Amino acid sequence: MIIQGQVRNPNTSVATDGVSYDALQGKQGELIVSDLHGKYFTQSYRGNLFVMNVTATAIPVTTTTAPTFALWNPQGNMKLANIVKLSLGYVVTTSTAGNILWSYQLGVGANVGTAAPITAYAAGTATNLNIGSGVVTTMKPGIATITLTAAGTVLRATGFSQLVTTPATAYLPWVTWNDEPDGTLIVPPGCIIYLTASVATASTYTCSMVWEEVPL
Amino acid sequence: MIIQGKVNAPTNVSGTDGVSYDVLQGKSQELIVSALHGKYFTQAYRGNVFIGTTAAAGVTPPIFSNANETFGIWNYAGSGVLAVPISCQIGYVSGTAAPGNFLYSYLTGMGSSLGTPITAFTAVNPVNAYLGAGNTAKVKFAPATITLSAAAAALTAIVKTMGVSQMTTTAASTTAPMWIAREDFDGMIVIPPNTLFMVASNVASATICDITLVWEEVPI
Repeated sequence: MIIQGQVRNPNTSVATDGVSYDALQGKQGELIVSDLHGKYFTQSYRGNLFVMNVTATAIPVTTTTAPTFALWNPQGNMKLANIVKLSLGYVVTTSTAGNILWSYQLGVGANVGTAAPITAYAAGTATNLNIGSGVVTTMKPGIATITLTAAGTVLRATGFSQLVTTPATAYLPWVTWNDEPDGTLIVPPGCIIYLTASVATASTYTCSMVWEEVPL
Repeated sequence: MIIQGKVNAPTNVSGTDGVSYDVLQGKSQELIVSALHGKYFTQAYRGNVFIGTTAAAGVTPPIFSNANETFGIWNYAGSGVLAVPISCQIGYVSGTAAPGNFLYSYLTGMGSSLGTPITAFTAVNPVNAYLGAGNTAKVKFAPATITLSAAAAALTAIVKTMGVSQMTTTAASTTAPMWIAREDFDGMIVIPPNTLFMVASNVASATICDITLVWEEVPI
């Protein structure tokens, strides 16, 4: 059955609760809708949204084999990680001029091993964003120390840039660093994604990454 | 009954008011839609969106692990609702900043009455976003005074950074462009009953700020 609505102006009087009406259509036949909740509410409510944090870490250069903030989707996992949001907050130390990037590596398997692509991996903690939910992540959040056998590849910039800034003497407006890929950054099983910088940062940052877990 | 639309290019002729048409589908078979109102209009119209704001004089966000916090909502045990943050805005009032960043923190197991772990919570009624109408908030809001037991303060965890940072900035001597400190949560955090959610900092911020948190209340 093909659903139809009705092309018309939005009502000038309010509809009555409990009564059915023809759905509103726009002039090009599209269904006119209103959101009820935020974009990620259903996934969060269902326990599929997670956050990982590190309270203070520097970010290494793109050629690093020692990332400090990473998400590893282990090979064999039946979920994808869809990155929802990355937020960075300044903590301490004079910064170096450069920008923050996403890097990644495929084919990293599921386990740490001597001859494996990942030889050391300090596990971070993932918190379900339906706070208190019993659903646990199937991903491996990672914080320093992480050791890769080979450097990964730059995926894209976050758009977060900084100049040489000394906190005690820098007179600057507040800075907002939030990156929302909005569905454009999917981490499959066997892949690790992590933060790098065009130049190793001297500053440290509070880092938060939010992701949703979606069946393959 | 399976609902279907019809895959088509958007018509280059406007539909006629009062006539029904097959709903448009895209090449991936998705329904093509346009929003009528803002994202949260329906919830606001139904009286389920609330605005909590500090007094204009502002507060100084402390480090998140402090026992004396200045801004938060307490979804107390038995409230019957989930609190879902919509947005947080922080505006500068005065003071020379301590370099650092703003963040959100939380505690679970917060019960429904004062004592331990929450020893003081100076609640103020939030404003319903349907101004002058709507429902009364179920969630408790404090725009200045939240006191935690030492044990509870030590357990306070970071939800995430707001991504908003400040350097040492003295209002009287700093020439800088204007800025925005705002986060849209887009439904990604759900605060169940028995939980305290706060806006704080990774250091004692030293800056006096006006803080606003907007949230919706959703049945459990």
